[in-house]
Amino acid sequence: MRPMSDTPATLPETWPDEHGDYLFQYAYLRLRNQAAAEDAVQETFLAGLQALGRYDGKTPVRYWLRGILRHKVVDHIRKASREVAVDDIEGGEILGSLKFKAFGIPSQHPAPWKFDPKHAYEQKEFWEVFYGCMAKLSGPMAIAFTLRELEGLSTGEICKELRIRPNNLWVLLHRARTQLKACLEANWSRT
Amino acid sequence: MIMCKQVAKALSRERYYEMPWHRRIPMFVHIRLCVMCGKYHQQVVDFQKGFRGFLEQEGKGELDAGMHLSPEARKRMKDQLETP
Repeated sequence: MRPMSDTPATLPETWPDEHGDYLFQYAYLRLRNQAAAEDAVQETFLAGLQALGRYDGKTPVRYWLRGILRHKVVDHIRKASREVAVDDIEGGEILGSLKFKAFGIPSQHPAPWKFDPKHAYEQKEFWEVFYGCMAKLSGPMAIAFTLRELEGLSTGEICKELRIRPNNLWVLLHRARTQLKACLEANWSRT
Repeated sequence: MIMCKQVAKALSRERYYEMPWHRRIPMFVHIRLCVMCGKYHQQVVDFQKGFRGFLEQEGKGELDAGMHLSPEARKRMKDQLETP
């Protein structure tokens, strides 16, 4: 991926080469669809071109474009979430379990990590594995996880977007964490 | 003293390190005393730290996951941006 350069923001024709891969990587992780991610980047460039007169140069153009892209991505996720049935979340096995009813936690003994996360977080290569595992999540679980962990939306906002109850969101996030943990352990331990 | 269920709900709704101190202190006391919640809490916090680290790397542009625009898409975008 190209690093940021000093090319003036007023040369939009350089944006695809300068910032295209960076923005595509950002969009792909959140949308998990090549065509949708490319469309979002293209829309971002066009919106940036139209808004260029309002760009004050205080932030690097890459981050300014990323701000525009973020809105495009969240809008896309919102539209996609309306088309996805999220009422098939089978939370019963977790929320109905005696352990949860009694203690409020899914398992008395969550399996320990197979690697040391603190050590892993210091390795640059780990984040590439992390990206790959995040990109493998799918369905409502991926939408909920993206909105929560990457975009920082609140429980209330996510429940409103997905039209689910907080308990359902809890189940989705729990499943996503479990799947992500399994993927990280399988792929990071091997590297 | 707060209950395990309240700890689990709070951790699922908010980031531990972003909670106000008056809510974090009873959580801290509980998870120090309760082995089950301690383990669960540790894993949730590990994830929360992981996401924070990931977003930092991503924000700085230091992450290269090998994702690239297709040549067709790149050309299409360039053509659109070059059109007066």
